[in-house]
Amino acid sequence: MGQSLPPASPVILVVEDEPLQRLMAVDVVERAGFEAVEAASADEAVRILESRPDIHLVFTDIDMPGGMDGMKLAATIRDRWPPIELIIISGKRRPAAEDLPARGVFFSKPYKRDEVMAAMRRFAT
Amino acid sequence: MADPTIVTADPAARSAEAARLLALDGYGILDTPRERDFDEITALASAVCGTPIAVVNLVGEGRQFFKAEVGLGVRETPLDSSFCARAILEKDLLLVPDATKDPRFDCNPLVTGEPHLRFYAGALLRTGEGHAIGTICVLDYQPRTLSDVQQQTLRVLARQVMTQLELRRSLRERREEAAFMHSVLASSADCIKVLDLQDRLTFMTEGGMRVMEVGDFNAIRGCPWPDFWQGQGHADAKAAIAAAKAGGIGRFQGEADTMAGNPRWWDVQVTPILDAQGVPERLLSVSRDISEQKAVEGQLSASEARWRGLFDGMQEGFFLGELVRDADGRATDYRFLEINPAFARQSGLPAESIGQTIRGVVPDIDQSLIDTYARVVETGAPILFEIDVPGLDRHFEVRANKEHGDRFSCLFLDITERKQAEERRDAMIELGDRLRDVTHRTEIGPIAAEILARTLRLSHAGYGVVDPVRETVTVDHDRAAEGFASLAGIHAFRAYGSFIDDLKAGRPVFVADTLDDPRTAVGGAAFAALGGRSMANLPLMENGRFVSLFFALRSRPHAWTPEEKAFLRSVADRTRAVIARLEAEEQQRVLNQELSHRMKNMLAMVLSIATQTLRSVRDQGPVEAFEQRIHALSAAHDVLLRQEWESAPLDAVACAVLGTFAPPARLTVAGPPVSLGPRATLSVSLLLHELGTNAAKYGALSNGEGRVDVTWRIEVAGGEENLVLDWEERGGPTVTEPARRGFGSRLIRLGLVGTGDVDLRYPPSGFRAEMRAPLAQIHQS
Repeated sequence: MGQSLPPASPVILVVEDEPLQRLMAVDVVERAGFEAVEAASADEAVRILESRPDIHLVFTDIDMPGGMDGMKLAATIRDRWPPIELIIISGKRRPAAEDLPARGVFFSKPYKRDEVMAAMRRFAT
Repeated sequence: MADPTIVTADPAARSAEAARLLALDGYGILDTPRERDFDEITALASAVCGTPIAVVNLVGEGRQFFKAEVGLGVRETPLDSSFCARAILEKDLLLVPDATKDPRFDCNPLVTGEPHLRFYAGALLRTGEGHAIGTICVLDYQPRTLSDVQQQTLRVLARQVMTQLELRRSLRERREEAAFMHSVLASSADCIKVLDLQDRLTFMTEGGMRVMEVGDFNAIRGCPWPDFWQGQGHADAKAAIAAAKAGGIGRFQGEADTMAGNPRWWDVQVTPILDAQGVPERLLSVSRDISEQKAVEGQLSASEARWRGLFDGMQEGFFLGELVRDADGRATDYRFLEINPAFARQSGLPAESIGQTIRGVVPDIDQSLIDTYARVVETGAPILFEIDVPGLDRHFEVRANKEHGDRFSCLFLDITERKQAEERRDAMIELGDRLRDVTHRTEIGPIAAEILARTLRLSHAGYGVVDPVRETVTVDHDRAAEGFASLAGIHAFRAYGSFIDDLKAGRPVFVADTLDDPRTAVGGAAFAALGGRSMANLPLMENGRFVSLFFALRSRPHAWTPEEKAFLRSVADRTRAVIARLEAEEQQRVLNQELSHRMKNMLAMVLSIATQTLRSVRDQGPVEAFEQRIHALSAAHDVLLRQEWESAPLDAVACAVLGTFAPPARLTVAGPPVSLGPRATLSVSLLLHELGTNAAKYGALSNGEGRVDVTWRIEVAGGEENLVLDWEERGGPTVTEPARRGFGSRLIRLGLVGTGDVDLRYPPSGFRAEMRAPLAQIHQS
């Protein structure tokens, strides 16, 4: 097969219940040069992850309504999809280091776009 | 003729003459009238001797007195012409047959002149002691002599005269003695009576009739004396008579009325009057009126009883003590000479402690107490001190006074109430002080329990969380006195009694004796097993629900005083207030965090909208500036949130804002601790952000080696403290003052709290800014 596929662009899953903020998060992902997949809740994120093996990083808010918040989602991902990297944001206090999943990175809301983009790029290399 | 006087200069003779005159005087015969007995003797002398003259002559001082005479016709003559004065110098009988032929008398005027006496014969009147007090003599105008029989008769008559004189003297003396005895008896204040052996009154003295108020002794003569006594007095009188009849002395005291009906107390003595054979023939009864003495005794005894009653009844303890010293004189102990019931109560010592020493009853008594009493005795100065008797839970103020010698008295005032009131007041102050700094609910219970237990001398004190549905209380911490097990754990209320019904209704429960109270009828024994014979439970209610409990137990029955109940309530109230404060603070903290979270979400939203809205704008510089300023505000919020939105330390704010502009090696943040109020936190954050932005764009942080020093200090000017903050850039490119003033420069010129006072300089070495603001405004929220 002489046809060569373009290198797959890394896919980042954005999990954010607030639409406007999800919009900005998607913009940050795209500006950083990645493809964004959106989820409005942790449950939806899990469903997407189960069907999309190409996602290599999840960018999630902690504070979301419903049974599972961002921290639980992160723990689930670390458990079920260990290779996936995690960027976690919250308007609340910074979680203690031991509460963060391994390799997880935390940003306080409102986050600085350039800092988050830098972290995304770092995980992609 | 020689001087006929018997008066002589010889002292011995004069003394003998004085004794003779005294002996004569003892017969009381001089100058008495004529008496037949003596007249008959002189007549007999005259007749026997055949002389015309016979005389009973007594030789006095300077004269002679004729008790009787025949043929003379006078009763007294001077001594100078006396034959008898001569006669009494003779031993027995002086016979002068013819005076004209006797040299002793031949010059006597009675011889030489009228009546021309020629004959004298005198026999001496001599007393038993040998004093010659006179003569019986016969005289004649003719010379003659006396036969032996006549002389003997004269001697016998002389003795007969003496017998008469002795008889008269004896009678007189007897009369005088009787009169004296009578006056003595009559003047005695005692009632002296004579009884016959049938106990009947036969005699009573005048004085006796006076004190017994007897008008006529005949009215009672012959009455049996014991019948004058009633009751015990009658028996005592009979016994006294029996004793006297037995030869002894009967004595008694009794009360009997006088004949006039006045009550009197008598001291009575009955003795026998013995006959010649020593057998009682009559009885002498002497009654002395002792009514006055009895009355005084009665008053004394009433007074004594009154004082004794006061002493016994007073609430203050009292004892009289006497130091006990060792061989070196050091006081090592003291003896109780007197204690009152209050002292026995207060000290717990038995009333039989009188006579014992303190070491005898309390062997391990502190020597310093004995030293204190010794000091009182030695200095005489009273001492006032306080003493605690832990076994009794009482506190006393002691006043020790010296009595005399090694004796001292101590008065004990019970000041327990005052002392406990002070302790409760101090405890409330301590509780307030210690609860003020409490930050966690769990700290409250132990503090309150400790203070309660100490102040009220409890066996247990504690605090527990209540499950009102299961009716249990969970005690995490309690304070158990030494020797009592902790009550930590879960307790079911119903196991101890029915009082939870009161607690659920919000009513405190006070039980004086858990073994004797209907509310603890089922659980009294369980309480006692925990060491609780009296208990206090105070419910803490929340929204009408019984949620927690304060408890206090004492190991002995104890009626809780109103003061103690009030104290327990105050402690519970204070505790409740502190719990409420902590809960309010906790709610505030949660609220602040939630607010902050929402604020940051809102800032994130604003940023989302701004970036989305402005993404098509060509010059992204202002967009980024906007974005960064929002981030500076957000950073300030973060710092404030860490401090519960009360204040933020200046160094933390500076680091949070400037950390993004410069690595730590190129940034100095230094100054004394200054806390910023919330407003100052936001304004200082924005100010530092602008200064940092400028430094990063144009100043010391725009190249690879420049640095920024941010320092501050407190300056006092005009009595006001000012914060002075210096921003100093070095090692950057040469700077010039910007010509255009944008929003950033205007923000900088607002200064630390928006009031200006900013000094900006642009020396070639680097930009410098000095900003000031009153510290009071910096602190303001």
